This record gives sequence, structure tokens and C-alpha cells, in this order.
Amino acid sequence: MASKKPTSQATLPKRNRRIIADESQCAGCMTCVLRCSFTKDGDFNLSTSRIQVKKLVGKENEYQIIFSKDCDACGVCAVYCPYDALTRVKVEEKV
Amino acid sequence: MALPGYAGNILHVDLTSGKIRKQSLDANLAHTYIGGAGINNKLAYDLIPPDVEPLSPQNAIIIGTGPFNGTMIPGSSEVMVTHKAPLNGAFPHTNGGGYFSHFLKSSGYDHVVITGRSAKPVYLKIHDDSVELCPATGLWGKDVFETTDMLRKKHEPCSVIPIGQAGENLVNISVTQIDKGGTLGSTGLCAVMGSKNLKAIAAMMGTKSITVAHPKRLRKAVDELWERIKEYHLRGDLLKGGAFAMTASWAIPVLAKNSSTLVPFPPEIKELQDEIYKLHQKSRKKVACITCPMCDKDRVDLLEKGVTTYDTAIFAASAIMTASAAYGHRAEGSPLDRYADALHFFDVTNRYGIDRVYSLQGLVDFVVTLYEDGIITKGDTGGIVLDRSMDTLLKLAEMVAFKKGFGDVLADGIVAAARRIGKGVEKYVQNVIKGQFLFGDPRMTGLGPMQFEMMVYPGRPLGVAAAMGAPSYSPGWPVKELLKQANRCGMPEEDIKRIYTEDSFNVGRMAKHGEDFFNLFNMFGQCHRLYISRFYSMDIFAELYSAVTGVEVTPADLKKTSERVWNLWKVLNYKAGFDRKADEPPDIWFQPLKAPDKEYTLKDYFLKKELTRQDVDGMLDDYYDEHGWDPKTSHPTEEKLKELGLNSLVS
Repeated sequence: MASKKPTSQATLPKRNRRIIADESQCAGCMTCVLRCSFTKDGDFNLSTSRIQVKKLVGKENEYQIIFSKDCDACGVCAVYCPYDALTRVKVEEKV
Repeated sequence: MALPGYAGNILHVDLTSGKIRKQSLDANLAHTYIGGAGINNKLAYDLIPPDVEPLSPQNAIIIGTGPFNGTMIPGSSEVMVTHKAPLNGAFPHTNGGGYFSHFLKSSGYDHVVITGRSAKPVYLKIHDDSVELCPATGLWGKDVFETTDMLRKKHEPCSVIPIGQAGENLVNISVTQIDKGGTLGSTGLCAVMGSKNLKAIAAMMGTKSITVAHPKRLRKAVDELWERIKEYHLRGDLLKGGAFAMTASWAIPVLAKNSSTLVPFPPEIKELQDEIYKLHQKSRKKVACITCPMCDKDRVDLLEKGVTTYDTAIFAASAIMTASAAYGHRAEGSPLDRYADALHFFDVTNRYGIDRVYSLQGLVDFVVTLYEDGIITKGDTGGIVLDRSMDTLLKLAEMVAFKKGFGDVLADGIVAAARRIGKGVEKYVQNVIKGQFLFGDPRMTGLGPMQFEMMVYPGRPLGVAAAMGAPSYSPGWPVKELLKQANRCGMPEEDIKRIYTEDSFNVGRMAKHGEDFFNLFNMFGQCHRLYISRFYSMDIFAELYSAVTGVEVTPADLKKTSERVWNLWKVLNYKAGFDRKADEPPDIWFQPLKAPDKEYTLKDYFLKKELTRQDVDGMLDDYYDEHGWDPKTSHPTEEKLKELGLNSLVS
């Protein structure tokens, strides 16, 4: 299991970053949703988080990870994802 | 503005009249009793007559969340449900994971109180201010998984507490799974739901926020937890194998031919278990409850056999298929066949919603033993031959779920089954306390904290043991390891000196302090499984609770509040008939467990000292004394109740 060092979000440049989701690794814990909401809004709101984890109906334990337009790729979701399903990369990097 | 850490409302649903109302959560209530177990117990004490018939409309189903639910605190997934249980008449703590606790709070509710009985089958849908009783058309008759799928299709994103056919048919040994993963209600919650014509509760994801009083403090405390969690040396194994990874190495050292006769453990069984574990890892998709970084739940696709199922306890596959008395003593069959059989059996019982772990397997062993000994015959079973085979297990599971024929005799649990069979079979009822089969036999494991909790706890007691850490599960850990747990539980230094010596400890007195700590998991909404609860301590809980709610508490404050809730719960159960007599050990403990080459007798935790009934009675005396309870009756003393501010409970 790769270890990720928590990073200060405020110091990271945002424009050339994006979050890549590997949905096959997602276990559905929604830690990313809660962390995002808490970081951006200061409270916990599942519905207004910039990242949403949707359980796919009819496809058991499979998830779709969706980023809203408001997402600024700050990376807090990737830092705290327990299952390495999210990675923050530079835009020019080949994924 | 809701209280920090709380959604702010209690939802009341009367199924008889269809009336639904919202009540503001009182701050004093929330701070005096705290969360799931705390407020649930207070509501149960106020609303459910202790002598109520469990399957009557007067019984209530009280669903509760805690101040950690809805936040990012790891393992804050548990929802607590309180009711009078039909299996044994107790008010158990029954809780489960999945998403329900968070989704309920996201709609603005901390608790739901469901009373009455609907004239027709319904399900309760909760979505923000839209709370509806919907016709369960097309749902009634469906199993646990089908019901979940149908409601998800209609209301996703939502979390579902369904019942299967066993609950519909008022089977007391019923159980369910929240979101196909979080086991809930093993003492008959589903029968209570069935008696109310309530097929399911669906909590949709709402739009409300949960605020916290001190965000920076919370972030710091959770970050520190996360640093420790991700470095946990067994986490990699957990992610690969789920709960099975943690328990595959539990050497179940013997096979029981039946509950009283021991048969040696064939050496090839270990090899079989290892092979099954490999298959499990290959077939498993990891599934996490909300906020869980350990993902111990499973979906298993055994492609070779075309078997798919979900379970919180697939880890038990090897144990069940290699060491279950109900399945018999055998080592034949390929690992693949054995594992496929286990998964199929799990799937069938999970779908019907039957508690196989704490009831069905023991019951099957019980009746097969009676059959083998000629006490019952085909005439009693409706023509069915009972043997230790998968065929018998599956047949009886179906008969229990639908209360068909002989299944009706088994459906209300071991005590009721023995009564209905008659013929003096009570002596075959072994290792049963408070209507439930024990987890293991203390004559083999020693009488440690876990076994003691099984005596005094009216629900499923494993959570208490989990709170006391790994030493609770296995006998003979050195005292220094037990002391680590004592410190973690916030046991004061003077109590430690009193309770522990260099090479031993007082089980009864220690148990009280384990309860003080464990109960907090139920109050906050935290998972108490060993591999996540291990990261928490009384100090950490105090910091998290202060950060979330803004109510500054010390570890000693929390311990006291937990004690208040536990005492309220004790009085509630006492009124329901759970006095000292109910806590006493079964006679079988004081008879030898026979194996071909030796006999096992009841010993202490270190497996050194033989224990007599007097010794165990002494443990109970110590336990009550440590609590401040009357040793003759087990009821909390007037002084204790007043000390805890429970003056209204003084009779």
C-alpha cells in the first residue's frame, strides 16, 4: 500500500493539476466526499461536496466518481483516499 | 441552527395512524446521554413499557445516530437500533454499518422512533423534509438483497434497512444487513419490523449539513488517526482479505461432533483453510462502510462456481465449513467445493434474513444431535432425516424462514425450541445464555473478559470484548498487554492497582471498565470491530467529542457519562427481567467437555486455575460491586443512581 504524505493544500498551485480517479480501486467509503466538503465549506454536506461517489445501480459495488464544475483540484480527496483510487497529477503528465 | 455534531431532530413515525412528526433534539438530552446508545436508551426507557410484548404495536423501534456520524472520523458508520427483542425479551444494543447513519443525518434527523402497526405492508422513506410511508407493493415476499436492490433502483442514492422473508414471518432468529453489508438486529429486530408491517427503511442522501464546533481541532485529531491507521502493519492484509485476513489464523483447535463431545481437529483442516483463504482473496471485491479505511466487508464472485454473495462474515467460511458441528466433522471435498458450499449457505441465510452465526447453526446441531440420539424421529420432523450435511442445513433454513413444519419449532430460538420439543431435551441446551449461543466454549478458551461479558450482556457481547482489545479474544496474554488496554480504556491508576497484579487480574472488576469504554462506541456511532476500534482511546474520544460538539470534556467526564448510559440501560433490562439470575453461568460450564484423550474443565483466563461455580459467583459479586450494583439483585443501588444524576430511576 503506497503511503501518501499529507500535504498542505493551500501551498499547491491549482491550475495545472487535476485529479484522476481509478474507480476500480474505490471501496465506496466516501472519505473523499466528506473531506472535500469539510475543507471547502467547513462542515459536512454529502450533497454539496465537489466530488461525488455514485454507487452504480445494477452493478454491485461499482462506483462512478464525479467531480463538479466547482472542483479546483485542490487534492484533499486524493490525499486522504484510503484505497489509492484518487491521484492528483500535473495536467501535462501522461496518465 | 442545530447543535454541533447533531442533525437536530427526532423523527416520530406512528405506523397505526400514519402520523409523522419532527421534534427538535433537546441540547440537555444530547449532552447528558450522548448519541446513539445514550439517547436511544433514554427514549426507550420513556417510551417502551418494559413488559411490552415485543411483537405488539406498543413496542417501538428506535433508530439512533451519534455525534461522530456524519463527520469524517474513521469508522463513524454505525447506526444503533433499540427495541424490545423477541428472541429473549431484552433491550439489546444492536448496531450496523453501511451508509444509513450518515444518510439519515444528512436529511436532518438524529433519531427515528417508529411505533404502532401499519394496516398494510409499507416502507419508510426519508429524504429531508419529505418523509413518507410508501406501499410495499411488490416488495413483500422479497428477500433482503432483492428488497435492497429494488429500493436502490427507485431512490438511489439511498441506504436501506430491509427485512427478508424470516422477518416477515416473525421469525425471532432473524437478522438483516444494511446495504448488503452491515449486519443488524440479531435478536429479532426483523421480526419486530415484520410485526409492524414495515418492510424496509430507506434513508436517501439528504441536503443538510453537519457542523462541528472546532474544525481545526477535529482536522488535527483525525489527521493523527489517519497517520496511525495507514501505517498499521496488518492493514495490507485486511485490504487483501477483509475480515477473513484477521481471522484465518484463528486456530480453531477442535471440531465438536456436537455441543458436548469433542472430536480432535484433523491436521488436514488447516491446509484446507489456507486453500479456502487463497480462493477468497482471489474472488473478493473490497467493500467499505462509510468512512472506513479498513474495508473488511466483502462481495465475493466465485467465478469457477458461478456463486456471488455479500457478507460481513465471509471470514467464518473456513470455520463453518471445516469446524461447524452443524455441518459435521469432515475434511473431504475440494477447497473450491467447500468454499462454494459455504458461500451458497451464507447467501441463502442472508437473503432470508436468518441469524446463522448465533442461532441457526447451534439449533441445527441441537436437533441433529437429538435425532442421532433417537430422542426425536422422522415423526417429529415431518418425515425429514436430519444429518450433518449441507442439504439438511439448507432445508432447515428454508423451513425456518417460512415457519414451515419443523421449521416453526426452531424459528423462535433454542430455548423455545427445547420447550416445544419437550421430552426432557433441556439438558441438550448447552452453552446458551440469555437465549443465545455463546461464541466459543469457555472450557476451552478460559473464562476471560469476553466470556464474562457473554454472561452479563443481554445482546451480542463481542463488541465489549473488541473494546478491550485482542487479549480479550485469546486466553493467556501477559498482564502487561492487558494493562495497555486498561490505560486505553481510561481506567484510573488507583483502579488499575486494585484490579491487576503482576500475574493476574480480576475479570469481573475489569469488565466494568471495559463496558465504560466500549459503550462510547455505541454512543458516538463508532464501529467497534477490532481493527478500527484499536486506534481509539478514552483520551482520543475526549478530544474528538470536544472538537465536534464544543462541549469540553475530560476522559473522566466521558467515562462518567458512559456509566450513566450503561446504568440506565441496566435498569431498563432489569425491569425486563434481567436480574442476577439471568447473569448466572450455565450448568454445563461446570461439567467436563469430553475429548477422546482428555477432558476440558472450566479454567481462568490463563488456563491455570480450575474454576468452580463459587469462583464464578465471586466474579459476578465483584462485577456488581465495581458497578455499584446490589449483588443480590444486580440492580444499581440508590447511591449509584443518584451519583450519576439518575434520580428519577430511584424507585
